[in-house]
Amino acid sequence: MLHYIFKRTLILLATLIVASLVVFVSLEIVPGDPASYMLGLNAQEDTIAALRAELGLDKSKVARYFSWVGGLFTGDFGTSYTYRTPVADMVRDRMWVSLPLAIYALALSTLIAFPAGVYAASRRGGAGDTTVMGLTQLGVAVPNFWFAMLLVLLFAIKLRWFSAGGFPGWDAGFFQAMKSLTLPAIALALPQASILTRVMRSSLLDVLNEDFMRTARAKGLSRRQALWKHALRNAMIPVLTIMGLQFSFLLAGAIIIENVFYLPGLGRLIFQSIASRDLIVVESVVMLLVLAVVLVTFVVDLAYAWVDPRLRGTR
Amino acid sequence: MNANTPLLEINNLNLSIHGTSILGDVSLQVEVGSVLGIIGESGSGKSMTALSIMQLLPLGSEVTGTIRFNGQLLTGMDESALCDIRGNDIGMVFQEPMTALNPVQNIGEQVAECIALHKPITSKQALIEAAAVLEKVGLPNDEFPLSRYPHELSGGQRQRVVIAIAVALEPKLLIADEPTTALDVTTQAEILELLKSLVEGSNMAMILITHDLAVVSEVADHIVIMRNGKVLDRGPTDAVFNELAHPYTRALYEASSHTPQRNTTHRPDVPLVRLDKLVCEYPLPRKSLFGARRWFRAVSEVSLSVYAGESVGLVGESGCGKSTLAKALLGLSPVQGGSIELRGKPIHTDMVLSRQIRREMQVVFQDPYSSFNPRHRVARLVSEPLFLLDNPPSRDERSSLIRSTLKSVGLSEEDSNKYIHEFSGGQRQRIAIARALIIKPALIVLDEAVSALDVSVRAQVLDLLASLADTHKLAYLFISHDLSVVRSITDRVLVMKDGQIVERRDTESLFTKPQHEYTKKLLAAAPQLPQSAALPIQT
Amino acid sequence: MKLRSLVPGAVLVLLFFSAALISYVWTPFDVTLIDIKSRFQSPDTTHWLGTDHFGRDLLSMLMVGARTSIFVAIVAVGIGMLVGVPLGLAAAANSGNLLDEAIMRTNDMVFAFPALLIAILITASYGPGALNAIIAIGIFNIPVFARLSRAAALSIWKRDFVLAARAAGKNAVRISFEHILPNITNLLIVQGTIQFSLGILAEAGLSFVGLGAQPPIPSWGRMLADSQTLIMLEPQLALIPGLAIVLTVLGLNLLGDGLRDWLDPRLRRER
Repeated sequence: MLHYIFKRTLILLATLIVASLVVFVSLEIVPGDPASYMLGLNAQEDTIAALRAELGLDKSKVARYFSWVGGLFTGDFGTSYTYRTPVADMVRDRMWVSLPLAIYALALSTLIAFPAGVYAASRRGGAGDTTVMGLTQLGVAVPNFWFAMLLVLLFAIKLRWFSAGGFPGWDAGFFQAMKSLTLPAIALALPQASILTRVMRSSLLDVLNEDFMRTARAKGLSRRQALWKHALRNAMIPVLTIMGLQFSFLLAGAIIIENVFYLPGLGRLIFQSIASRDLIVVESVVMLLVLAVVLVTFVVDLAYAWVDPRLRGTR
Repeated sequence: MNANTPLLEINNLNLSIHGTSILGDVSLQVEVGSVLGIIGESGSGKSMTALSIMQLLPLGSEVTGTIRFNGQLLTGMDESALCDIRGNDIGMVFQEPMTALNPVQNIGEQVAECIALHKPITSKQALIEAAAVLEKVGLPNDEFPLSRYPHELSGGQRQRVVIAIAVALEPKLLIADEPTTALDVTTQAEILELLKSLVEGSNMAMILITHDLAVVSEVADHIVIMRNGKVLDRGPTDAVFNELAHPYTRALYEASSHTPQRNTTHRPDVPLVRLDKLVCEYPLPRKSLFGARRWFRAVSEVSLSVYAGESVGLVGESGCGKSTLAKALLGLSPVQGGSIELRGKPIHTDMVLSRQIRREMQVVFQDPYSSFNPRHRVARLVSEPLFLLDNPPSRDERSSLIRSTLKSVGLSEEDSNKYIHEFSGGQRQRIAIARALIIKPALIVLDEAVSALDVSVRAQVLDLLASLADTHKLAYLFISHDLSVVRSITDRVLVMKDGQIVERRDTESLFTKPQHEYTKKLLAAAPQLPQSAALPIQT
Repeated sequence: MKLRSLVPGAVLVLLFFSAALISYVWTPFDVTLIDIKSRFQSPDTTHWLGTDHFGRDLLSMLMVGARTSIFVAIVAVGIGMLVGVPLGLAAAANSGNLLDEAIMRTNDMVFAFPALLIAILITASYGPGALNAIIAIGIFNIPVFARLSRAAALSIWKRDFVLAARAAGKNAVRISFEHILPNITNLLIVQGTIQFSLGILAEAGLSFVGLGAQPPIPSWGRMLADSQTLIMLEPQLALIPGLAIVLTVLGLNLLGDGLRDWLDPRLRRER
């Protein structure tokens, strides 16, 4: 077990290092001269020179890389070029919108998908199964941002149950904040729940065909008992993989969907920064998102070992 | 129910699944405390009969007829009443021990679950009883704590756990469906002993389903012979084997004791293939973080020779290294030490065998269902080794070669255009032999080549192999765990254990006067087919 | 559920493919033509689906948008397959070796970057455009196909007929082409249609936030973005492109499911 954790931790660190290199190279090496890139075509020579000095671009590439990475560790993400405020401050507030949104969506999607998948598998071939399969087939085809727009149209504009956008901040109260995240979370959750339902169903169906299920029935367990006590835990293993992958899609989706709901999250920050060519902000936010994805993958890997004793190695 | 009523009575059982008839008018009885053996080849319906008793049939099954157990009518009983009976009054053991247990639960939980399901006791109490049952089946708690997981146990050990689950509540009837088919000879003997002792110890009745006549003759009081879903013969074991009344029974018996006709060959002076102190090792997965990598020695300094035209048997149980040895010889597995010579010339030991050398040796594998690429037609499959020839034959030569090779294994020209899924197991092995034969090698390695075949088909394939050896002067390296098969087709036998050859003799001497302890143990464990007055066989 | 999905799926896919192809030679109206007088018209005989806020014909926009979506998705899947499948096959052929480890670890690392992030990185350096969308989605597809091919290939390498091929003197490359690849083709076809549908969704998402094809080239995602502010007054501007996306993706998924069922039972008969 220790060997497994050690190996996964190594992979985690290696991925982060490589990711940071990729981000750094794409944003600081590739544009040539980041300073003139940021200032645009019509900038003056001395303005460019001033910016270069300010950004420390006179140092070597390697030195710049290490000072950037070092900064990430200490929490110094640099200063935004456009806003002249520390990036860390800007990111912190917005992170508390995007991450909870992604987690909320993941929770919703799981809460819908597990029962639906189990239900469909236990009623295989019947009307219940066909209905679930039909609904999920539609669900995966719907772009989440379009669904978001429809939700806004129906629930915010016509029915007025929710506001059409905006985020009051966590200070306004947990319930209020969550309410404003609900429509976006539902929009995100729909396609993911559809995918997860199908994976749960097919994984369960595979497990139900295994030999040990026959042994379970031979003990005297009813079909239902056998499913709950034996099939589910074995079926979880492939489902966990998908959930881990889903988080990265949910995070990307959250970023896109913030546009629809005018949520002050990482999404708007990053798109504004791209438009205003504020590379410093883009670098840090991308790195942060990669970190979130990689951490979740790591947790999923650990969860595997908890669910499946075969991965813990033999004693 | 009085003392004379059978414990289990099946009357006129008919089963069809999705319209296909599986069982036709099956009737049989099991007395309290007796053992009934059901014999049949694949497709005979024997497993389906067992599942019918347990009422665990697949979807789409339609059943007519009655099954009466312990005075109750099982057919038509509602599911919750059946759940009470399963595991409690009737226990079942299945064929594949490797997949019969839930991989994410430990063995204590799996046994205790069955107990707690039928007895009103706490889970703690159930675990204590589970521990006792595991001891009873030969898995002492100090060596095999309840917290062990199935993947930490061998096949034989897993089967013991399955048996523990089945007998935990001392059922009146135990159904064992091919319980030892997937196990080694010695493990098979142990499991059969265990089953016999359990039956005698608690006056439990047992139905033992198998295709192996020798196994059933050692355990069963009565036997029933099935074919294509019908019962063809029945009676007390001794009587059935002695009389061989039904032609199918007779055919099965003949096939089980079949010895193909072989001509003795004159042994040349120089060996065809010579292995000298061969060593093959596998790296083991790392257990600790920084420890040195450990290696497992599969083949440990083995030396042997095979002469042209002779048939050499290599026997041993699983894990002894015989398959690794074969693969090393064929250049399919790396070699860490020692040398291999073909006709006196050394072969490279790093798996890069030259084509000339590969031409002289070909192989037939065990599993007829995975030996062929499902996307290729038979003509292409059979002619694959022609790749080794320096001057590949022209199209016409190729087709005529394919045709003649298929003919020599008993297949026809039309077969060359078909896909492999259109053939049965026995036919596929013939095609595999054709593939090995087509470049006229000097040696064919047969790695458990008949182990997966039904007994009657096996006899035919052995005949084919014997006649081909005579015609083409082939040498065989016949690898098997089945001693009776090896005895019938080899001139010499080598016995392998833990990577080493422990005994090597000519076949008859080995079987009649074994010397090494392990050989004696193997021979003692192998079940013997009883003698029949109707068809005496030579020992 | 089986073959019943093949036909509707194929029909839907053909519909949108044809629309896209036809748009190369003809569209009812010129999509670059801005005609403010005709804006916000409801569907009628001139404009079958109505017009948008610039007076552009919606049907024509849909057809050219189909072209964008399909083109981006196809090339992206193509990149994923052409690079990913050989990588996966190579990893499986060298299972346990350094090459295998290297390919798998690299895969994992690419998975850490959702397509959106890759697109962001490219756009931040090079500016937005359809090419960026193709590269971003394509790069993300590579580990998907690599992982799939490797897993499928590994299970085939274990089978005896591969050993027989080795006994016939064939090397790993030859075996990968003659034996492994033909046996995973079905899997690849099915996954290809799935990735295609995912590619369409991804392209729509990227266009929606402005990272995909740029004006004046129409794209379904941007049509949706433009309709956002007008959704209360002219909901059809949001509904129509959205439905186009849903139907195309649905068609592809149905096709994929149908293909899976149609291709598999043939092979299953071997047992």
